[in-house]
Amino acid sequence: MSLRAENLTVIGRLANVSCSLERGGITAICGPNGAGKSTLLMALAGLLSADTGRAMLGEERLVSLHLKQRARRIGYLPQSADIAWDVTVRSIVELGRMPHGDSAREPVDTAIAALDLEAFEGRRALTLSGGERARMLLARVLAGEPEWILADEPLAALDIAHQLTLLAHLRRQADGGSGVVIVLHDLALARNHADRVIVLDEGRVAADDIPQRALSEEVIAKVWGVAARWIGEPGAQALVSDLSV
Amino acid sequence: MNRAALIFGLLLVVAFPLSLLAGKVWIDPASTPNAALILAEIRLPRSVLALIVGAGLGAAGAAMQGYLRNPLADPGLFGIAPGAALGAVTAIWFGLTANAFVLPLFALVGAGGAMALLAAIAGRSASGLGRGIALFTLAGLMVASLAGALTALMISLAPNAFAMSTIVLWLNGALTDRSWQEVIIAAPLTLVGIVLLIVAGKALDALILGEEVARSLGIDPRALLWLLIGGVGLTVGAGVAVAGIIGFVGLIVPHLVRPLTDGRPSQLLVPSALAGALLVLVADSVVRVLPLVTEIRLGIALSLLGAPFFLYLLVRMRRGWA
Repeated sequence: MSLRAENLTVIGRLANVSCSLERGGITAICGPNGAGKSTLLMALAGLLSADTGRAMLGEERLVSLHLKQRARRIGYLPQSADIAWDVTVRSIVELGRMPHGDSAREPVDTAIAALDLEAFEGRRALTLSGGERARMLLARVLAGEPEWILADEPLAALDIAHQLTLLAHLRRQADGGSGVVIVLHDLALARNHADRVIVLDEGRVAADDIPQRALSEEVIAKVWGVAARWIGEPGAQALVSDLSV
Repeated sequence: MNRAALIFGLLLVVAFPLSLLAGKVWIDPASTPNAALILAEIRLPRSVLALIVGAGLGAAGAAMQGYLRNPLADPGLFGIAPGAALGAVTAIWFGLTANAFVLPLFALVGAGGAMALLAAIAGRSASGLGRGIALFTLAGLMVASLAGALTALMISLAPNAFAMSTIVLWLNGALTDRSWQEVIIAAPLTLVGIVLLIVAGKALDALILGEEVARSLGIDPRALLWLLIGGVGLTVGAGVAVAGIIGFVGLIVPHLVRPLTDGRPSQLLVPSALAGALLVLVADSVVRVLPLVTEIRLGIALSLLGAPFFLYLLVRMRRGWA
């Protein structure tokens, strides 16, 4: 069942954005600061109502879906992870079960195991390192067994090893049939790991294609205003820019 | 039942009978003349009222800290206690205290007014985008300041010195000379209020990761706000109506309870109600036992006790951060 934006406009942030996403792959949303990436993600999560246009899950409007029903189908991981109370890692992961109204052991255990958190589940959340914390927060989303995982910059503030670990977890979810949509600032990660990239520029879709085309050197020059070129093998490319431009 | 609830429940079982016997005159049920009468008509309603008021304040404090995601939050932030106080002060100002039901009734009307004002603001505030809770808290503070200013105005315009001293004394909450009438007023309202807060518990847990995550988990922020207004309004409003302003309980109690739980707001509510009941019961027993000419007001005693304790907590928290 597809997740779609149909002519979405949020005044000042998104202008007439349309896209249709299918499950079973990783879609990256890229763009310069202020391009509307997080706004689009929130609209696709049903957390923001558009001024015009609509976000649809299958044939249903997201904003008219019952809150719990929407929450069971779409897991959302925001950019900031401000943890108010120093509860245990397991308590945080169990929050993912809230839309189901249960704290079923099995999906919680599976999520904890999937992100290698078994050793931490009794630890207090605020004692974790950045990488452990990012895994815990993703485990919280996975515990809800959503069809869609929408994550806003889940890799920011992680070192490269943790970035790749987390991406591997997301890839496993996509291969398992979930739809994964992530906002990414790192264009090389998007180019190497996403199946599809949507580039936003000043609230509009500048490109929506496979990574090689959506993040071509021409698009990067036009949208980011940076002269840069890709080097390396496909799937392991790096972006190098000429600082004199 | 969680460990914290068990501990505070057991302490209450011990403290309650002791509080019945404690006072200027210690009661020995076997030898004190009219012991049964004193217990049934004076000591028992006062102790029961202490339990009710304390339980309401404790649960409201835990819920407010969970809702605002802030360990320094207090039920007073919503402006409901000052609203109730304004109502009560109005009754005293007009000399309507001959009937024991009138002052609590006025206080409840004041609390209801504050709740209605909050509800009107809540009904208009946009649901979410992270600013909902902050805006609402500011609105609560404004309601509190307005009610406080009006109360101060009424004190300064008091018709006579007697009314003025009655108002000032009443504002420093106490449980002196309370009867079953006050219990009948406060018990059902507080009970309903605590139930509303317990219903809100799961949604408060969802707020651990912020308002956006809570919404993504299917929590309706507006429904949660209504539960909070209703729950805090009823518990605090009923408490002020029968006992006046009793500060610090709602602020301190969750801090006593939190280390005994896993920290989730939902796990704090019932133990905080029990711990609040215990704190007010013990504090009220202590003010009765102290060898002073006039009984020290419960509200003052709790502030005297609470402020240094809270300072200690702050210092400890700062060490934790360092």
